[in-house]
Amino acid sequence: MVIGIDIGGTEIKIGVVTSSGEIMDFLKLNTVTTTDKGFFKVLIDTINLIEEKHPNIIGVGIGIPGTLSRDRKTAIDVPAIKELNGVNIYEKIKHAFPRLLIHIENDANTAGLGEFNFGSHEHENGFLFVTLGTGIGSCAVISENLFTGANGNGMEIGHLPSLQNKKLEQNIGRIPFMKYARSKYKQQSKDEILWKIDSPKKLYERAENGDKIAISIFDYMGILLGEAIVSTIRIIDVESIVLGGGLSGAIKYIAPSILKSFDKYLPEYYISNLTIRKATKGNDAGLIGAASMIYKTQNKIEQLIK
Amino acid sequence: MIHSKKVNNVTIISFNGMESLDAQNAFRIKGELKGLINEKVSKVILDLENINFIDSSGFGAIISALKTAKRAGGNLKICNASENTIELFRLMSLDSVFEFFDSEEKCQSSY
Repeated sequence: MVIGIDIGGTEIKIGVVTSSGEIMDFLKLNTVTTTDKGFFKVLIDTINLIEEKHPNIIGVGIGIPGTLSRDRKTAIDVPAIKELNGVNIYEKIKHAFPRLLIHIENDANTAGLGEFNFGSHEHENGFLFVTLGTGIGSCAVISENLFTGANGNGMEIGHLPSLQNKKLEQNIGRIPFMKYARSKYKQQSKDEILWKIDSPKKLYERAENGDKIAISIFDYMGILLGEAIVSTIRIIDVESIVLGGGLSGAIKYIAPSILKSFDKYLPEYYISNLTIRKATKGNDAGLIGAASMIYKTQNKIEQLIK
Repeated sequence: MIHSKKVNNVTIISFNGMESLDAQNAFRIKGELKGLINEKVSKVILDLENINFIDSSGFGAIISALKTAKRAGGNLKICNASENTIELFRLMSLDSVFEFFDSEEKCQSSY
């Protein structure tokens, strides 16, 4: 058994994960309260209690919402939990649990690994995972290995240049995207309630009811996202695209304009086997993906011992 | 199995043959606790003597029972929780939401 930890700006999810990606015991801690009480004390106490119930725990995999040192030990910049900046997280946890394997990774990467290892889709020749939420995160797995770039913090699709001299996530991250939606309704609808629309879910429901403005707003997202994915495919040449995060629920309205970008910018070679699908592991992806890193290392160790 | 008894207008609920309140049993426990607590039974003691782990689903069931008891004008207090279990309440920042007692008698007399 492995403990998976998905650290977010709002909550910290902790669960015992089996080798097939099932979550057995699950705890959710408030991030602010945890930080106030002493981040590592709470984390270590929680792991201790779980380990008492599950003495067969072999390791702890942790997803962090920020950049990490190349050796995956120290947090460089964690905007949501500034207390972690510059802290050697690996040493803190390893010191408390010397027997256990410890792995730390960026949270978009752990979510991608969760989908790659435990999601319903097969990914034979490389995999690109894009999360559409407050920010736009991404992860690539190539030849079954996480692709992180030379220094460990590559694959930031949300930071690619986009419309109006902005980064992609400054255009289609949840907040700017809903701001765009409101501006479109203000221009094109007399219904003043829609001028204040603030939830992607409500926007999706309107699209489902045939609202052409809502559909065109998702189309805008698809165009910008499609252009960024095209650039990424040209660099890493993957065939399987998976969209996760809250906004991925609207994939049927986003995907058509992404496909238009593919047709416009990519030759047949890239498109022939390209698939674009919705993630299947939802909010569990980060937690189980963090745990999957430990299982992978354990498998390597077992292969070496054989 | 959930066992309940009534002493001096206080309902004492205990868990026999269960070591943890988790996703496996929380849904059933939540339903059973809700069924046990009503307008006539609102002073409740949860005896956690046999429980050594509670996950978020288990906490959800306990909080739901507390809400039901409070809506009926009563309360839900906890007795015989192990150090580990109390620590879990503390880690989940729920230690200030519940009152803990080290024996059923002390818990009863607090009502």
